[in-house]
Amino acid sequence: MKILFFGRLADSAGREVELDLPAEGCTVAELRRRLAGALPQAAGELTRPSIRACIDLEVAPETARVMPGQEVAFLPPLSGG
Amino acid sequence: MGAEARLAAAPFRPEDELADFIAGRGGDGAVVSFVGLARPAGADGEAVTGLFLDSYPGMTESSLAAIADGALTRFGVSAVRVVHRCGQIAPGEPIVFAAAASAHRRAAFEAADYLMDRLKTDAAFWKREDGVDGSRWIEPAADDRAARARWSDPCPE
Repeated sequence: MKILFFGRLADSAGREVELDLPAEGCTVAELRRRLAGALPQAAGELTRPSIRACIDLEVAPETARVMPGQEVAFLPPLSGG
Repeated sequence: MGAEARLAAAPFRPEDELADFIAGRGGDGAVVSFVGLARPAGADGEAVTGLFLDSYPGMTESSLAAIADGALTRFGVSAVRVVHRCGQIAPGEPIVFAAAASAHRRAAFEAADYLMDRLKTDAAFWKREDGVDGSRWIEPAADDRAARARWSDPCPE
């Protein structure tokens, strides 16, 4: 499945990455760890607590479950317009 | 007419937005509008060669719509329009157009003020300032947070 990155995070992680998720999915926290492993150049940025996960356009806590087929994004704090 | 919010990936003309907004009014006596422009220098005084507003398709439009709806509901104005750029913006170019219309001016002034305070902190953008010495990603300024706090809405977090 596709994982999207925005803001300064996209500088190190790119705009999107493909990652295989098990059929039962995983938690946001686990996904974050897997992504940090897959993208070592972005690991520092990705694991900051200020970076939040979004599942299907809604901010999700670390304990939320991500299922294959959902849209997942990792976002730095908003700048505003 | 209600609340309209639009994300613009290309330059837009605020004068055309205002003319169109005014033309759509029926019976309102007051229209208040604001235009935000990309400044040629950053907070530190260094020349800015460009501004990049990263946006998340779906989320960014929803955040603009929620802010426009918030102004409509809170101030009882008859119409609100927000047009906000995303992508690469040159110094001097319009970034945002925000307007409100109502029967009388007080509500329209307050709605426009509120729109900008919310757009500066709650709109789903990630802003990068580009200069001759490199780029930096921006966080909301203390002034913007203080202005946002004036309206005493719970922050969406």
